[in-house]
Amino acid sequence: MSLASSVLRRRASRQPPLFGWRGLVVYASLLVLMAAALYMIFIYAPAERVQGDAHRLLYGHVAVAWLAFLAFGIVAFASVMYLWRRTARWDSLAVASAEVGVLFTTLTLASGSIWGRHVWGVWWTWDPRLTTTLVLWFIYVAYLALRMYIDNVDTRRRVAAIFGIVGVVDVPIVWYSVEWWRSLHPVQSVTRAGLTPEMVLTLVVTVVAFTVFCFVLIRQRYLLECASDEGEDLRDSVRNWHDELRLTGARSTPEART
Amino acid sequence: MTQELVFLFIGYAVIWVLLFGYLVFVTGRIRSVRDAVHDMRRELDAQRREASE
Amino acid sequence: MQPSALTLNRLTVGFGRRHVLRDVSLTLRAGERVALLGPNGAGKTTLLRTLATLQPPLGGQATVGGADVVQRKRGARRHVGFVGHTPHLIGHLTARENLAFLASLYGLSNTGARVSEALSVVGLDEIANRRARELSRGQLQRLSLAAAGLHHPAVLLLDEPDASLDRDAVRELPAMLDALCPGSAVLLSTHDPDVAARAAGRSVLVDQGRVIEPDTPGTAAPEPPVTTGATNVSFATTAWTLLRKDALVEWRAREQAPALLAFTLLITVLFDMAFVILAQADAPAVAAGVAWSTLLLVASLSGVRLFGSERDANTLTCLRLAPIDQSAVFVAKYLLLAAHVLVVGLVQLALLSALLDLQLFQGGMLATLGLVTIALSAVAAMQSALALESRAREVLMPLLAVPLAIPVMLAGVGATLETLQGAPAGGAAPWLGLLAVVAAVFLALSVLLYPHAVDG
Repeated sequence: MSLASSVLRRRASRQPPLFGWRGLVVYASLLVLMAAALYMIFIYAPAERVQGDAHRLLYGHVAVAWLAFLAFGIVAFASVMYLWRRTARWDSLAVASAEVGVLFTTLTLASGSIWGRHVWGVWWTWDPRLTTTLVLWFIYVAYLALRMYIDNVDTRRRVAAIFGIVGVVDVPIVWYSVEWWRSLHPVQSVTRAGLTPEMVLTLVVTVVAFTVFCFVLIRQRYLLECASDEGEDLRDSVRNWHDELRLTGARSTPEART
Repeated sequence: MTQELVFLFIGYAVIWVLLFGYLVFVTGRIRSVRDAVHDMRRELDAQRREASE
Repeated sequence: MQPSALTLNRLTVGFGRRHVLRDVSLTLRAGERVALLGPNGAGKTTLLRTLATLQPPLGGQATVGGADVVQRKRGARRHVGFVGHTPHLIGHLTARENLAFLASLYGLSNTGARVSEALSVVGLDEIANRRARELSRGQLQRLSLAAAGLHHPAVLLLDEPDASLDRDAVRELPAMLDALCPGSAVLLSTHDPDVAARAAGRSVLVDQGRVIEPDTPGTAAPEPPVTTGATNVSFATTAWTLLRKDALVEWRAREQAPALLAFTLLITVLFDMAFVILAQADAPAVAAGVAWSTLLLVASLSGVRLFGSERDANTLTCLRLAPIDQSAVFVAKYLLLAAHVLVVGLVQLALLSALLDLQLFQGGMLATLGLVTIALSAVAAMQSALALESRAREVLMPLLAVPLAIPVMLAGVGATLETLQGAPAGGAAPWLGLLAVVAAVFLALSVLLYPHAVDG
């Protein structure tokens, strides 16, 4: 009985609260930051010379795009750490980050497409940035699909970690190959007008706000992964404990009676 | 001008709806998973007490 | 005191976090034979697989021939022979070839005599040249026994040897073991007390996840410990042995080549119709696009079977049992796939030359084909190993391989266009350089990471 009960005791006190005072501070500052970002994007930042008001979408777009790539970086880092350390926590971080990454990559593609439709007149163009982001999205989706299709927990974690590492190595390669290809067949490029100090400040605030949001999402998803892991753990230890109980019961009861 | 604002509105609306939707969804899932774990633990405690008696 | 052949110290085995058999302590000295007796589902198989280093223990320690099964996995593999429920022999090789293959994997000396002796001990010398897939269940089990004992392991693990051996063979089992690997400790599992009594000196009863009747030390006089015949084999030799085996199996099975070539033909004609006849695209562009996207499809399709066929035939177990650098398995598979892709690529170039009236057999194109082959095969072989344990392997494989291979395709197309459109000399060079970098990066990563993928 000792083994199972020690497992249970050790796991008992590891759930961080969902809405403690620290959570309150985080969510409050997130709301303030987001409100500030919205104010600056729509009112504070001046209209741009060439694009007019459409460029206001770019603040959000740049922020989610940077986070899409950052999330992938976290997946790779957590994957390396998992292969090295083999602790479930790193794998939970990797899967959390990958899922949030898919979300941000989708947003990057969607907002970029909407902006492109307005400024370039097309929904899609084979620009290096767009193409790389699209490939990134496919790699993320493949990562999650791979996880979904492997039943054995240990195998799933190992294999996903390897794919996470290989995937992130592929991203810069995609970038270079698309850029060279583009230099052969030039299409229209993004207008690069100068940014005023107000625009730079707006961009910084927006990026900070979205980054905080991204980390909150990754943390929540990570906690979810830990909670379901804990559920699995508990279920298995309960079964182990029942087995032991049945055995000790089967053996000790007759002795106790005599 | 209005056309531009419609684009802007759609763009940001997509971003916000998806992000907040995901946050709410994940937080809800954590709640339910933790509740399930909690129930399991309580049931187990009851069984343990029964077993040790 | 003599070092024991096998020690289990409070070993707990199972899957994930679920315990199957708990707290097993057991010691076997050289030459001792112990039966693991218990009903089906008692955890006997899981215990034996853990001792054979096929799955990690969940707690406690175990050493085989003095080597810890976790810390010194490769060392432990030298000292262990394992006969599983299902034989892990190579169906397309003959009985003799199977043993000879194992002998060179384990680096055994005096191979020919050793193999012949093992075959005659298990009574298979008359059908030594028959392929394993043509043997009966009982004959396969005898061959498995010969394979497991070939390198004179310190410990021989037999999982229910009575399940598929005929009655005579079960009766002969002790004598066969004596002749095959004298001095090896034997741990065998069975649910038949008669078999246990006949084949083993003592037995340990397991049930419901625990040892019911604990180990009583044997009284027989200890025998001298056996020294394993397994020696260090260099990485290159191991990879060569594996490649030769894979090529032979591929040749005999002819599993992929005809279908792949027909597939290539079909895709090429299809693309040609769509782009040239209907869309009026210009020939060099069609050649560049069709050639490399077809090759990408072919690589990811044949990647499905690359490791998949080994897994389905249970032969990957045989490779995991061998004390080799597991990366060598990857290298051999990679070379096989690359050869496949190269052949398909050459056929493809010939086809496109004819269909599009282009001269594709020129230096630039061949260099591109070579590099694309190297890079694509690296991506596909790696993803094949990753998708191995997944459900829906066939669908998952392209999903994994294609996004990763996109730069390969782009660089291939770039180099082809430069070559075919008569760009100034050296126009294709940066693309070829990119291909070389991609190939190097993926090869290095996969050789490094492959052991993590299949062998914990």
